[in-house]
Amino acid sequence: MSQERRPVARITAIAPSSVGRGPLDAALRAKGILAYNLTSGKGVLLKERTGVLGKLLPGRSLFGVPADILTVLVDPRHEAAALRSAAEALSIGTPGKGSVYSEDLTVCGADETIALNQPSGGAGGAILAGLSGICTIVQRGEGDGLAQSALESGVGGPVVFFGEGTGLRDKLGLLRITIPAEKELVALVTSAEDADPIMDMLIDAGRLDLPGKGFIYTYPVKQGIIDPRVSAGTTSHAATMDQVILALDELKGGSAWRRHDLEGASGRKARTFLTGLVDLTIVCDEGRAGDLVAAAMAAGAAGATISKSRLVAPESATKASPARERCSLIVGEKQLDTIIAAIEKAGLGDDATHGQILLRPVPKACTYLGGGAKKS
Amino acid sequence: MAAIQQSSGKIRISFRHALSLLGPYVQKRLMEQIRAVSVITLCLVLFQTLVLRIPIAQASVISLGIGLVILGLMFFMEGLFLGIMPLGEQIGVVMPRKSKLPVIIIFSFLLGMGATYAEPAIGILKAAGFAVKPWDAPLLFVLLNKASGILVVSVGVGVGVAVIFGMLRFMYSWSLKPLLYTMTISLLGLTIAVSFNANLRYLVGVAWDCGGVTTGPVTVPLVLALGIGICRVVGSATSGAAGFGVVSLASLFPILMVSVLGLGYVGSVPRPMDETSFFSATNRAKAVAVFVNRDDMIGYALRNASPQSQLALFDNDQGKMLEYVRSLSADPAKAAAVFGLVPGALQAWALGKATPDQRLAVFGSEEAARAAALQSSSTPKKLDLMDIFSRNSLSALQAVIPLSLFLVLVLTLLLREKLPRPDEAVLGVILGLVGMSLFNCGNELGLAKIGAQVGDRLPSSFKAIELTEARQEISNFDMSVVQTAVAPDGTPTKFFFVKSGDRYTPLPFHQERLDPALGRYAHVPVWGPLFGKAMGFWGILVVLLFAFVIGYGATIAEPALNAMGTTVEELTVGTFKKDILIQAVAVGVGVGIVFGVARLVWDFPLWYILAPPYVVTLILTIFSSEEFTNIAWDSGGVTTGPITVPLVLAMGLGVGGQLGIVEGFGILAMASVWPIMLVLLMGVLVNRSRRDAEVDAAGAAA
Repeated sequence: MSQERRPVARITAIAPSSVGRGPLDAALRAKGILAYNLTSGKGVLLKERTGVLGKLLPGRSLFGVPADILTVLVDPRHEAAALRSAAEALSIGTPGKGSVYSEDLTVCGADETIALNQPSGGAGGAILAGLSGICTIVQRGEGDGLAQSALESGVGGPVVFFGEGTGLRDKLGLLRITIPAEKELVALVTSAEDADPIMDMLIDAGRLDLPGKGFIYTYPVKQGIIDPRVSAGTTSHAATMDQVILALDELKGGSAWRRHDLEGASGRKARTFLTGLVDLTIVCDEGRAGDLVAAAMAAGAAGATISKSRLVAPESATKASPARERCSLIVGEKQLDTIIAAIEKAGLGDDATHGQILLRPVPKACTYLGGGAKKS
Repeated sequence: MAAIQQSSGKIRISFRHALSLLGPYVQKRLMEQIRAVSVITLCLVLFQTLVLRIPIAQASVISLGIGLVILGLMFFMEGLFLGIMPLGEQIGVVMPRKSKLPVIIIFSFLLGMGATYAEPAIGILKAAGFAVKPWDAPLLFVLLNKASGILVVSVGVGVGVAVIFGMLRFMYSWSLKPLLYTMTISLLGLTIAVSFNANLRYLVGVAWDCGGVTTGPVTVPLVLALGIGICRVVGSATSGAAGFGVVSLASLFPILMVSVLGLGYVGSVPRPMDETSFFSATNRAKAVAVFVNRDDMIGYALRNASPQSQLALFDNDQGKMLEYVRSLSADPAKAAAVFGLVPGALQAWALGKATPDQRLAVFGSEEAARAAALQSSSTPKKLDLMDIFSRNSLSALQAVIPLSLFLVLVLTLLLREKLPRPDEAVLGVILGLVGMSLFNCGNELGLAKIGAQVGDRLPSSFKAIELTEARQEISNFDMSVVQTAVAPDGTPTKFFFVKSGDRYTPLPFHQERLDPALGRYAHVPVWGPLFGKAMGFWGILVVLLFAFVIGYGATIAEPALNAMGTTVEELTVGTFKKDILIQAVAVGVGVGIVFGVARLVWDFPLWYILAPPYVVTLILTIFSSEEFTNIAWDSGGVTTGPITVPLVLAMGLGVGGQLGIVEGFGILAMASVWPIMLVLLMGVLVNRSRRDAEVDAAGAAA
């Protein structure tokens, strides 16, 4: 009864919303990308304080810019072409215009969008390989602090978006309303060498190893163009520092040259990390996530983070609702089959759900471990 | 712990554990509301005690009321977020996919109509029009009294049509701007045009106020949630913050409907004229048309008109009038027809407003009148808490239950969807209901009461006013206690001592305050002007400053604005902060109310202060992004809610009443336009700084 699992490539692009969704859609269509998922997020930059406040309290504050996060599923054969198409459509490659990267995933369940996307490719800039993504789930209001820490240590392009957590909370009956479900997710992509120290730095910044503070995990990223921009502000030279960095990346063929010396700072204590996990993401019509997550939890999952997204696709080509939900569950490799079976049994593929499951490996994760792992 | 995680069953929680979970949850929300309400409360208390220097009457009841307001707001907001808003959003997400267009149109219309009926604004408007006299503004009087039912229907139709347009807009991705331009420009044109008609000019204020008051604390969040739900499934080229805009349309359409209604009625009412000619025989037929019937007219005249005008009503025949009053006294059924169904209304009128002759006609003899007067002054008015609670619970029930039920029925029967998290939804509706009842009670006992006290006395800062609520009645007054004092220039003045407790206080004696027939002397203390001379600059400045503070403080506590701020922040992923929106709107309301009160003080046509800000706002709209246009115009609609309206009205009535203004409308309309302008301005600034952040990168690259 279990549906086959197929490899699939996912392209994630993050662009400032000022582009406008109409022009964005037109640019992607022109490049052969017809169907994608859209989530509202916030891109962050550091900005010098100016004015009276700046004189009194010099320093850099966080500046949020609305951003669109779009994800495209394509056949693995088209991965490189899709990456270049998206980059060209959104003019990514200029600092401040956003990031784009690709991942290799496994998909279970029918997906109508994969066949729709026949990217035509495009001229590529400096595409970096050997990247690693870090995703942090924290309480609402704490994401900005983490994003700022990331920016201050030189990691460009973090994006913040909202989600809702379930887990322990849903077992409390009506008392669950006393525990805030609202979560903030901070996603960033960095070079694989930098991933460990940056993860350590984020754990310290968000005190994620304390109970109830949050969850952090890494995921492999195949290749991409990552916005190096960390701060807004004018330059007094012919090129901005961001452009210099991009040019050097291109010359050196990677970002290893700007590896950060963060290990010294946080290498003091040995942390226990969780390994051998999988990020299981259910994508389904809005309103169905609750049932599917409940089924997954009955089968052993600890909890999920649900965020809302919008499916953009030609109306005739897909039966799914434009209003979609995306539930991310971090589960152990051994539990995977049972949980997938349970979700499928709960109606993943039915007419009210139009769901599919995306899997990606999570090599390393961290949260409060004392007294049992808790992720609410 | 691990075992618990593996099981899907519920965790059993001990009572103590439950309390430890509830504690911080309640505390956080309680603190939020205390912060919101404290600004306005502190302003009112400090202003009355320190600036006007008048002690607060019934301070304990008022504290109880403010406590109830805080509790009520806490429950109500939680009810909105748990029950009402998710319900609206769910319908929005499902409806466009499962229903045909006509069904959506009918649903939208019913929702708009129903919301207007559920949160009746007519009570508020009637309060604002309390001082309207039929001879000054006959058309306005008709619409607020005889035709008030039709007024509510037309406002309801306006809101219904607005919701239809709002939903169609979402479905076909229309921009809000053309709708705003056409509506606002035509409304302004209409307003200026009717300003030259003696009768219609008084309608302008009430029409624009209708727009603001129709959208209440249940309607706004519901309509927002519905719009956001719809925008999640329809329209592709819209921005991330789509879903706004319905509230602004729901503020504009009723203005049009009320203006049209007024145009329809203008032919059937007399022109404004002075009081006596209004009641004269030649104008009789037209005057009766203003009232429900002849009895209603006579009752109104006896209660509100001057003795000469009352005589005019009886063809200047004193005997005929007294005969009529005597017949009322003999026939309780007829008295009820003229004076209303409240028992003893005729007697109360006779003891209060009536002339000595009329009083004699009612009671038959001086002795009977004297006995009745003693009896009425010895029975103090009691505060009927039960009555307040039952009345307010009923109105909360009306506002919350029919709408929630309608939504649940639409979702389950029409759309055949499950209720998402039914336990939370039910809890939410119950919390909303409890919250609204407590809030309404608290408002009546606390905020509105202290607001009315301050509002009444506010004019004392620039003119001498009589503190009627501090009126003291002395029965069996003996003229021999009156003494004579002398001023430095030799003018004699009369005064007498009054003993209260152990203190002897001298009071001035005015002959006209003595009722020799009843032997009763009424002392009314006089207060002010506190700052400089009468109608002086400083006194008026204090009033305007207070107007700003009231508008600002009340807006910060408004629940609908709070809900809207949360929604905006959520949809923009925190790039548009709730606090910034609330602050901009609150400052806007403050500025708007300053202009509204200034109009009362200097009495100029409303369009002088209505047209310029709307023109500026329209120009700003041209240069604003669609996202900010929607948010800004909606925030204009949400401002005038259950906290602002009674306070502003109390102040408007206080100032207007002391200055003898015909009608106190128009302040609320001002409280709508200025927030729009300020939020648009803020949007322009925010967009510029965002563009700066992008341009310096992209520009350098090019």
